[in-house]
Amino acid sequence: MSAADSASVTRARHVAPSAAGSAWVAATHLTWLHLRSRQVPAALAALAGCAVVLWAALTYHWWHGAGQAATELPMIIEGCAAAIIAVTAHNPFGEPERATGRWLPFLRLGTALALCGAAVGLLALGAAAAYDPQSRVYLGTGILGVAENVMGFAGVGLIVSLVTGGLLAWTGPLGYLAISQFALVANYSEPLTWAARPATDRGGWITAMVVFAIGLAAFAIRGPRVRPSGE
Amino acid sequence: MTAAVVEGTRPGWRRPSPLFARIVRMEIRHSTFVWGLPLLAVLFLFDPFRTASAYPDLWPLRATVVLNKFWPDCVPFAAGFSAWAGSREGRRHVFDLLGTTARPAWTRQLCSFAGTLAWGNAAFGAGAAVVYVKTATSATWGGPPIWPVVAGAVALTAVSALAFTLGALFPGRFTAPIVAVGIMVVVLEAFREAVSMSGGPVGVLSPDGAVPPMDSGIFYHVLPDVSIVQVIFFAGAALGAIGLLGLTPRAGGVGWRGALAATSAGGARLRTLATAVFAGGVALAVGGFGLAGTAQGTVLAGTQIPLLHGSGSGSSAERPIPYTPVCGGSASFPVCLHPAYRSYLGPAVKSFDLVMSELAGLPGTPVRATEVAGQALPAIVLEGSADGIVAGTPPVYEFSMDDALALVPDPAQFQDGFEQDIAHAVIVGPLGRLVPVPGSGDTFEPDTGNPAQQAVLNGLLRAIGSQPYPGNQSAPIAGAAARFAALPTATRHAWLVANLAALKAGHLTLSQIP
Repeated sequence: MSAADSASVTRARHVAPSAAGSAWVAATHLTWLHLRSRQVPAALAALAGCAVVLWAALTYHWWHGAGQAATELPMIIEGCAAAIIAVTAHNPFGEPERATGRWLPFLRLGTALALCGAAVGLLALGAAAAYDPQSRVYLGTGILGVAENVMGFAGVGLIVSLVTGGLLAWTGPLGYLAISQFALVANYSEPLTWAARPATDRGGWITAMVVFAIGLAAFAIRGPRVRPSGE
Repeated sequence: MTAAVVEGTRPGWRRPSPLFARIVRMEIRHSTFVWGLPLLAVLFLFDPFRTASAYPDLWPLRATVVLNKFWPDCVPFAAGFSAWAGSREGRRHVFDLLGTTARPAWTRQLCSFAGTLAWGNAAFGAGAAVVYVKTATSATWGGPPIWPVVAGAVALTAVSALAFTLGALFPGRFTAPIVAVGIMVVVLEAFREAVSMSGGPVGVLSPDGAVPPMDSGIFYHVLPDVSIVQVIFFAGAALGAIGLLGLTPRAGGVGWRGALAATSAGGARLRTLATAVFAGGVALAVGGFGLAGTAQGTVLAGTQIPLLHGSGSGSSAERPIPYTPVCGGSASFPVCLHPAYRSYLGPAVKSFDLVMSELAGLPGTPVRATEVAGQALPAIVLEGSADGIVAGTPPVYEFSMDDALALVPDPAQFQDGFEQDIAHAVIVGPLGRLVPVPGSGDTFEPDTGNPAQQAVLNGLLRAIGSQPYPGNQSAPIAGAAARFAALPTATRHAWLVANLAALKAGHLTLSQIP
């Protein structure tokens, strides 16, 4: 360390904030580091991309059919958003991170919740930007359907992350998405295929929220599986 | 003599497998695709297998499940895991470390791609095999169509190659799900094009399409043209993606500079090969797309690509498939079906026996029932939602199982259709007529008969346990039908013998029905 560096450190100590302020700065810094380690900024950009695709799909009539059939493509986009959220579960530091303190479960919980909120908000924004009822351009399921599917699919992804690790957690939402697509086309109405049921269906909502709650709780407490490869 | 030669002559010595094969074997063993297999198995059981099991046991029909149901299942997994494998080196930032390996990056990547592809195509092949084995246990005619499996495997290879290349070009943790969903959206849109029957090249090239008529491939050969064009296009797309992988420096390729100069320095051979693969792939894909644009629908043989036959005529390909019908029923009223429908002969005979026991001996009653191709029946049958038509002298009931059987067969509907057709033909007459409408083709006008005819028709159908004929179900008609149905069979038959001519001519009123 050079003399200049030493002087710089000393100056920094002199301007250090008070204890309360220091705690806030540390908490903010910790949160930011946690978000960056999960590549949350990139995830937000990808979610914004999903919203743009939803807007384009609505505006340019990328699908045909009416009623439930019209929800096929929005459901795929919602599944993509959930897969992106599930992938942010990955912890790049591996096992040692678990020994870093008691805040980790809260950080995981907060990140997953915030990303779900952001996904719902961004997709709602995309749908709102395209909204034109006179040209029959609107999201058939409304924002309720978006919220139900994003949270339910994300719940599946978080549960899968406990088994496969965060980086492969996208397989869960994708597999469930494929099942829901078939359920939608074939008019299956099993409770577990909630995404194929109308957005106002109470049973569908209950199932989706139970899956989301279980996934979120298990993920927050245990964290994703850390595989020997680091992935 | 070198040591190697001495070793090579030793008894029991095995020549070591090529490096490529050994690396591919390692890639297969360590592929992450294994994580997707349980999900894929659940998906397979949930829809493709369930759908195929519910379809009538006809080879051409059940084989469509392989492409229409199982192939789209495999696509997101093949795409996702291929993109995942492709992004491996970039994701782990090991380009520098691997830069000194003896083999070029392209070789390494192709091994990784082959490992993932092997799992994807093995899963697809296993699903197709299960559907085919299940069909083989119940089908009574024909054999497993190979083209759907070939076209599906090549299309899946193209999806994997494209996803792998995208993964290599844009490595990251989000690449795999985004690529998988992106390709899923493209497949969905292509499917929409295919079922909308727009006739555009995208619809023709989509492996996932509409379910063909049930008679497809039963009475006439179905041309493999669409499958051939799909194979050409997707093989081209796969080669193009692989060539791109070898050329783009972003993914560790040899670079585009001097791509067209075979003698350029620095990886010249590799660059030449990658360029040739890329150019060949693009040429094939463009050729396949162009061929798909020339597709023409034929009445009997499916979609035809005239250029593949060297002629512009569509009818030359419509070759009937010889068969010996299977017949059942009584000598006075034989029922003959195509052998593919042998398992439906018993229910068909039972249905005909019921209605013939009421109508035997009456003028206009058919003397036999014969199945024909759906396309061979007059348009009036399709327009009138009937199963067949009574025509000829002596009268013969010609019907199509395509119309009689639903995709998920319903025994009651199957039985009622024949009974309604024959009873209507004997008591009322023709199904209806096609009336030309200026500017919009022909419109079907059904002939449901006058109230007396409707009452007798529905009474007869009710007596044999069939649903009423579609049409007027007013209370007076229903009451008269109930009265007629309640008569003893002999009384009913005797009344019909005595009054059928007057009834058919429209001379009887509802009050004259006993």
